[in-house]
Amino acid sequence: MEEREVVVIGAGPAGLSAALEAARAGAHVLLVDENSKPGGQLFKQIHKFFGSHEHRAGVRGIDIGTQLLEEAERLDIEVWLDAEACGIFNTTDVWIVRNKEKSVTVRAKRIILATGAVENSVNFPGWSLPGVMGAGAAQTMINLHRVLPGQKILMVGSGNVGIIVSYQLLQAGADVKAVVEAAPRLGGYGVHTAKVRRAGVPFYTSHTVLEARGTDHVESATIVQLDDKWKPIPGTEKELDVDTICIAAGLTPLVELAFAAGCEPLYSPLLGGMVPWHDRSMATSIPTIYLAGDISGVEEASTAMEEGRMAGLSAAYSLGYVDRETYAVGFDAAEKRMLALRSGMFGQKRRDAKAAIVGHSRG
Amino acid sequence: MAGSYDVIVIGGGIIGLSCGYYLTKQGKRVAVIEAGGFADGASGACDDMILFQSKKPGINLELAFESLELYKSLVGELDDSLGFANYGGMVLIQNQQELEVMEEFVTQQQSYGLDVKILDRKEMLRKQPFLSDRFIASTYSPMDSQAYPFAVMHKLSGKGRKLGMQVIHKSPVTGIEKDGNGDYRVSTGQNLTYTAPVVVNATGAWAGKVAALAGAYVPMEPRRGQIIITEKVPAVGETNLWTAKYLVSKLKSGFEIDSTEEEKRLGLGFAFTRTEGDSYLIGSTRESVGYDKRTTMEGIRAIINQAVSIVPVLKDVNFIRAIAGLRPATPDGKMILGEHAGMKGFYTAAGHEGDGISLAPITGKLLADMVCGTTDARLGELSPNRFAKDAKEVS
Repeated sequence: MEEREVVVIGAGPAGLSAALEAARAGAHVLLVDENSKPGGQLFKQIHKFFGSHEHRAGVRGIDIGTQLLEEAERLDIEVWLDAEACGIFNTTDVWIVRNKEKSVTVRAKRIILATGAVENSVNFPGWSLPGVMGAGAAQTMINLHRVLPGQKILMVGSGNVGIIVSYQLLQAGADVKAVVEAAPRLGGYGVHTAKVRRAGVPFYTSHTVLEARGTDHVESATIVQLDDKWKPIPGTEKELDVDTICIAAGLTPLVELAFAAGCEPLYSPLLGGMVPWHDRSMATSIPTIYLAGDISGVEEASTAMEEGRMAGLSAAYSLGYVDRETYAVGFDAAEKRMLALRSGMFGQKRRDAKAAIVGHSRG
Repeated sequence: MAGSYDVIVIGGGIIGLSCGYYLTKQGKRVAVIEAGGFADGASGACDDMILFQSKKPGINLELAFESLELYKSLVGELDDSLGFANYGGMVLIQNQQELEVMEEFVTQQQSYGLDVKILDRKEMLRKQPFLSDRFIASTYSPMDSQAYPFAVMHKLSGKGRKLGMQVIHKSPVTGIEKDGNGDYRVSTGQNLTYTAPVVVNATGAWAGKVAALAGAYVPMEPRRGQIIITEKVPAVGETNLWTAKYLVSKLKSGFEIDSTEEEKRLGLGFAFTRTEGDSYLIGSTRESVGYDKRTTMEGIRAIINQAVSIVPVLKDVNFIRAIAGLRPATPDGKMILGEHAGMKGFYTAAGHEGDGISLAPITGKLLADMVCGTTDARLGELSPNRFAKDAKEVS
């Protein structure tokens, strides 16, 4: 069995930040990711981030990803790509399948789970037709693979993901035929929403997709208005000429590894559903296992990076790599930046939901 | 006080829900009290077989026939496909010794009315072209079937509720006592008390513990069964598969089977069934590890290695999940179904080990008949009182 001090699972913004922080403190870190490239969702985020200077506001996700990777290289962090973590046994043993060929067990003193989240689906007749996809998948296609998923798009969901991907699809040359939002109000940041609206895209609030039609791919979609109980109103159906339906209906934390390991769960609807309980230091109910990023509740890349720093620092501190004072200073600074991110109309709710998790007594 | 009923069923797995459903259908006011949530126990972590070929001629095989008929009628009654399918099954034979035992077994089963036969190597490979070279023959029965446990439980619960059955989750039973009227008072972790003249203990691997709360004796051992689930793949052969190895060792005591220490410790046997969702469930272990129902790397690895050695094409298939459940095992391998002597109204319906899905409908139906006053002479051999002597030794 191989041994490492800290194993970080997931090389997105949270995992990279956690690995960097633990390595800076002096711990030997192994960073694993099931994908062939590190960076998680950062490299498809071609838009500039929000927040203040400390949060690298104004910098594009792709550039942040490049910076983090360069730093990881400088710190000599060991990275395994195409490495799937299949389970955690006895609180310390991580089972990893490398290159779909070789099973390896790594015994870790500390494990940081930064597995991210998965897009929610919406089920309607025709939802399994080619052409129906997650908005994040469409974003990967245009921004990473440079493939336009279709010409005529229906976006389902007006949150930040739906709006940003709509805008990027427009930039990539697609025609966004409509954005539908089941809620009576739009969900995304105003500045992005306004950009999409100025481009002439119609928005339908209190609407959802009823059906997709087509023989071997999407050829049209029917949308319908919803009443105040979210039930379709007969007679309000509209037929849209689209070949692609993007679903931006939120994300669910990828918690399987944590729960299979035995971490205690907690329900947090605002943060995406079942999440592992964790304390302020990002430790779970299993003291060797920490969390960072969307697995601990769906937020955004900037909060994921702060959580990564907090988890990486806490893990290093628990291994004796930093003294109490250094830890307190570093942790408080990260927490302060985090509180700034979790403020305002969108942030405050997340801040409350996070406080509820941390404040929840175990068991 | 949380309510009084005609019958309280303790345990909301597939057996408890089946008991509750058939009792409700007979007009009883029923509460099903479950310690956890929906499908939290063994019924939510098992395979989906309605298997005939593994059963010795006798009460188990007889009840499996009746259960299959009930499944067919439940498809209409519960208005759902229930994932019911009839792919048939083959038991793989790898040497002459196994073949002799299986030939004798198949003849017995045939005389009991089971449609089963031995296939030679060529016939076997026609149905299962991807098998390893080492198998010389197999059995084949077109009767082996399957049902999707989650759908069955969901529909038994849903239809039962429509008929007035109550299903109460997150309520671990902490006490069972008699009150002044001779009714049972069942108390739960929420400090709630439910009363009824009849209590059915359908708590699977926990049946011994729950029976003890009422002062009854049920010898029940948990056996951990680990199973892996593959990604969606095209069909691998026509039927579901098992190997003869363990069947033979169960049928012939003293039969030397060639197993490693690890295989023995894990109780490893091969079961390979295609699900409604086009993935495969591959099992299984049979381990004595108390109430620990975690999956283990050792168990998962052993299942994978065994599966690849039997069906080599599986080496290119991903497994997506591993599950483990605690199968309730009785000392004689037969379920416990009946009223406890000297405890009027206290029944146990548990101990199906690997046959819970197969036998759930018939267990519920027979239990309901019993509670409603119909006796079935065959069921004497399943009575909890067959262990009365052991109970005295224990106390």
